[in-house]
Amino acid sequence: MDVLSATGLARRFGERTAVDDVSFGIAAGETYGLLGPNGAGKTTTISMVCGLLAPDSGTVVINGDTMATDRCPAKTHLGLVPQEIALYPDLSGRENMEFFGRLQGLSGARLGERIDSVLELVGLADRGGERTDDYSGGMKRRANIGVALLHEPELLILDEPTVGVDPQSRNAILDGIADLQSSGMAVLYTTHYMEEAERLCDRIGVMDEGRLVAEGSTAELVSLVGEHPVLRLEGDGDLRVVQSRLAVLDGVIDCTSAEGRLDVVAQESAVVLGEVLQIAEHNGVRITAVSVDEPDLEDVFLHLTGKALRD
Amino acid sequence: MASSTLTLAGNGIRRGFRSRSLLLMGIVGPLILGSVLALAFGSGGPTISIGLVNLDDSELSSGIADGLADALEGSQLELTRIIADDPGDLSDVERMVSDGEIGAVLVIPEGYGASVTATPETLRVIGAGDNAIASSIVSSIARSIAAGTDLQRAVVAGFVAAGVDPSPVLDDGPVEPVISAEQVTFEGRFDAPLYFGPLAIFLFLGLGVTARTLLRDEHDGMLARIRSAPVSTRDVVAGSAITVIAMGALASTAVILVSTIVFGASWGEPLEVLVVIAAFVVSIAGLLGLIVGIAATEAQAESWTNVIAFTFAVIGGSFFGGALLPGILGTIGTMTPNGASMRALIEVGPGGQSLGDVWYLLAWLFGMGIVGIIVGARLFARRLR
Ligand SMILES: Nc1ncnc2c1ncn2[C@@H]1O[C@H](COP(=O)(O)OP(=O)(O)O)[C@@H](O)[C@H]1O
Ligand SMILES: [Mg+2]
Repeated sequence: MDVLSATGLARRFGERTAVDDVSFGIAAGETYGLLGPNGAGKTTTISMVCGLLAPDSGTVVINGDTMATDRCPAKTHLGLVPQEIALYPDLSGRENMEFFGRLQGLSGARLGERIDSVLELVGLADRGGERTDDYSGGMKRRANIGVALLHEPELLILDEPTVGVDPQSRNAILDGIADLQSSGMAVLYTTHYMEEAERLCDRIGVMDEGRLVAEGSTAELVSLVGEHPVLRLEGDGDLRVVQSRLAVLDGVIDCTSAEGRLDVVAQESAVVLGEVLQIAEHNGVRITAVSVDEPDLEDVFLHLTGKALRD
Repeated sequence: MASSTLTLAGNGIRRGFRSRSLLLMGIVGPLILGSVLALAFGSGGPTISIGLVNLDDSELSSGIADGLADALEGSQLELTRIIADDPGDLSDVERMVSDGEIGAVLVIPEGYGASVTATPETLRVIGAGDNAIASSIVSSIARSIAAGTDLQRAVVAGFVAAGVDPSPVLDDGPVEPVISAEQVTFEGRFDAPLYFGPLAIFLFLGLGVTARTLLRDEHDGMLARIRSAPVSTRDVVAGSAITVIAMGALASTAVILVSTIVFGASWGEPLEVLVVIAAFVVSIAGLLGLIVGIAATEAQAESWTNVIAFTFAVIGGSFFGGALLPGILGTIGTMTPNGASMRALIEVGPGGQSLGDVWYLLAWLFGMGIVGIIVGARLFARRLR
């Protein structure tokens, strides 16, 4: 049985539909990624999963308990790491953990033990007594994750935990999450960085404009684009014109353009390249870079939505 | 009460204690301003001038007038005996009061002495809203005199009923001392308004910071984390209300204790003062709850709080030791949390009233607080849905 099963989740804000009929499940020990650009509806989905927002329709069941927005047993199974650093700056790391641990029903010696082991886990064992506003950015991020682990939840939910983090801390965070997976915890991870989704997640749901447009492992998703390598071009000028000309050529399987980039999937990249350069020159487009790559999630997103994933 | 409510309130209070702004605004500010005002008025507190017009030439009435003058000799109250040119027209006296030349005036009507054996006559108090202390002191004096007179009337009626001549009793003057100095001068001073005015406003501003924590937490993801735990919105709001009320009670108590012990201020009967202060704190918790419920952002809530604090300070008389503006603004002023509480403190202090006598002020304050908290909580909960 899945630790989390979300069925038919939908939520509107006034006229805007933020989440539209989203369903997915996560098994124990599995890491599920919600991948999508800013505004895709990831946070709104997570808010409904955590019982912060009531869905207009759909249900969330965690470990057999149905989620609601008030005090309910389902909430004891999950640990949320919000997108923001949700720590009181005027309290120490340990005091923050005491407070949030108590809200999760921990107390006494057990609370103390859990705080010690979480501080150890996130590498803050000797800094637990300091106010969190004295922490570095990376330390805050780690403490932010640690707070969600106090009550040993069956489901850990992280909302873009690496936004605004330097590459080194980001690596440490991703390694930390990978370690948690081996403990059998189910993880729901949202991001707009495809490398993170690729590196961490067993399964990925691709989100755009409130809808789940595709779901599967990285390999499964990439196969949607095809087995062929991707010819990537960058250039100045109207790439759309080039795209529309290329799309009708024989041997071209897929051709997408966005923000000065042009990706072409063809039977024979080398053959197509010559034609691309010709068409570009003919249309006054100056090609500045060319590479041939295996397709990745970026291509999948472009293929599925016609848009680039990056902001 | 849910244990999560207590956890939330405990955390709020812990953070309140750490926040210098609350210490500064809720305790240090009022103490400094209050003691500066007290110093300016001298150790006996401000002198309060009251007047007496005696329109009656009976023994009883002149006894009352002389007794009052003796009792007030050397006290904080300065008694002026006013001779009315025309007993039928007291408009000159009324003008003196409304011009602030004199705080309030007690009028003994013609025939007051004779009323002991006939239909009761009422004493009249001429007061103005901008001198609430003088008015309530004079009202208190009037009530004591009336009580003495009523007693005497009852005694006379008893003599008459028994067929005995009451003249000897009447010749001896009032059976009860008219009024004692302690009764009206309040142990020589009453400077609570000097401290309470600044306390009311600083506390409103300081607790505003605490109340707005809810909006900041919503913005910072803190509320998301709290609500992802098994905690209801009701727990969150109740925790916040308890924090505000507890911090307000602690800060007020600190100001009362320090001003009493260090600066020798006199606030009144401890129990009565405590009840009035509790009502005040609950009322501002309600007002702040409403602001938090209505405001879209923390910055908006802060602007609202500042505007309301200064408006209420002016119309509620907090800057002027309880003095209210004339007319409709003065009436509105007595309805503000600070104005109504100041009024209650004066009534139970130098006014000599009991808590039961000011029930309407207490009910108004507690009612405003409870309704404000409930409505504010509803509005806040609605945004989270
Ligand atoms: N409380 C809200 N009120 C109105 N619109 C909202 C609210 N929260 C999110 N939205 C809108 O819903 C859409 C999805 O937002 P969100 O779930 O935050 O996306 P993501 O987390 O993927 O960046 C966006 O268009 C956003 O503007
Ligand atoms: Mg988001």
